Amino acid sequence: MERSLATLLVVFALLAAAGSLTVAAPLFGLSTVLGVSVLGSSVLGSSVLGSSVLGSSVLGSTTIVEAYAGAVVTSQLWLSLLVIGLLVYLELTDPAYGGLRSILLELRRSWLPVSALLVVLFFIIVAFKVYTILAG
Amino acid sequence: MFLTLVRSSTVIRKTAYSSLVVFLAFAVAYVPLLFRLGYSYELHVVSTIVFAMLGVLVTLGLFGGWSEGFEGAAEVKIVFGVLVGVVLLEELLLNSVFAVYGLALSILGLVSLPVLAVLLGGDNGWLRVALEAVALIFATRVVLSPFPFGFLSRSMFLPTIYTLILVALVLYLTYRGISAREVRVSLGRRGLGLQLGVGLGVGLVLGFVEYFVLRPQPILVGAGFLQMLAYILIVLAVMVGVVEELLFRGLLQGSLERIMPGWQAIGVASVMFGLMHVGWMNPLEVLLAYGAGVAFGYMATVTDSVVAPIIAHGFGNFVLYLIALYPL
Repeated sequence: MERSLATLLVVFALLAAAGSLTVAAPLFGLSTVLGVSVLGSSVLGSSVLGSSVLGSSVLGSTTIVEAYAGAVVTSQLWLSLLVIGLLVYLELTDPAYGGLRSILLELRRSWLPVSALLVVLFFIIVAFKVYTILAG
Repeated sequence: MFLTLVRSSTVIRKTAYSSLVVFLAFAVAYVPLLFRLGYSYELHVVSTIVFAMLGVLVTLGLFGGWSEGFEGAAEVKIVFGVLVGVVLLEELLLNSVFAVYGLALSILGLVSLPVLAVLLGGDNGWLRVALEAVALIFATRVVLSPFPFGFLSRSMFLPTIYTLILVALVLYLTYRGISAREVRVSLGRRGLGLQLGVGLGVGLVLGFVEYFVLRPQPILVGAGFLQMLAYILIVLAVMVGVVEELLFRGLLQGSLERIMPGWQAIGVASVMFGLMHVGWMNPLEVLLAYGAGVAFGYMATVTDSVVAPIIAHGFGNFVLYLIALYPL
């Protein structure tokens, strides 16, 4: 890893810690380009819109928040299944087995970063589940 | 140096023409839509679709003759035209009551684009990278999945998400052997003072304009002023600015520039950047984000660095939320 990128990661970890220390009301989410979406009625329903028309009368913030919350739960299941599928594929196409078609190996190389990311997300899902169970 | 300036000026002209056409055509379409539909969710959806169609048509279709000299230009344009459509659909679904389908499409994009990169990329390494960069855009939505709704506090949410995205981005660059220089993580070829000045100037204008478009409420209600200021500076200015510019201007635009003309690369990256703002539920915000994307993209091209776009983006966010603390 290049030094500049590694430095950026370290700086970000520190910034994330500092940002997290700024105490806030227990309202989460803020729609920016990457942290987007439906993250609380005060954002979606009134503050962002400027006009309350879109947020309250058409979408209905409660409806959309419920839809989003349900979508998150469903997508966790998909992600978990996908991780299993990708890990099985990575194992089956291990070059050590030999005799594999080149396209399968290319695909393996192409899917490796995605698999790594999804494994990280999978562990976060598991951590939250465990925490939720322990917290009752 | 001279050749660089000439090349930049060609990019300037074509970027300016194409983005102006998008703006004017959108205005022509938006006004009757506003009268017909009123300020409603339908207006937001329809005008976003119109914006995406105009963006693709103007950037990849109307001025197609400007893309000669690039191998397989027609196929590349078709692929990225379709991808803009997929991003549009995913964002509209994600920000609706059909959010589950939006997330499904994000996951599908994240997994299928690397396959497409293998099938279409062939020996063209940068086409592969460009397709995988779009997969990373989908990844920015997928990383929302592990967090149960309501679990993270507001102050935790963005730092967590943006750090995750940066980790994914850096690991990807390292895995693919793409140097920091190739995604414009450098001081660039213009003076740092100039980049700082231009970045602050553009950010100031952008922050003001965006405030009047969005009129957001101040964030972190109940926290002290210094805490709010720190949060805005650390998270919204620095973290958001760095990650989004690295992804859109550094990786996406940088890879697109190797497979299509510079002005088209700026256009495609900016249309996608605009579409990622659908979540604000404000039709004009999508257009404004496109305009900001064009400005950032142009700055990145001219300076060959993401420093000026990061400063402009970050300072724009800073100004936006600073004004929100003391509404005009």
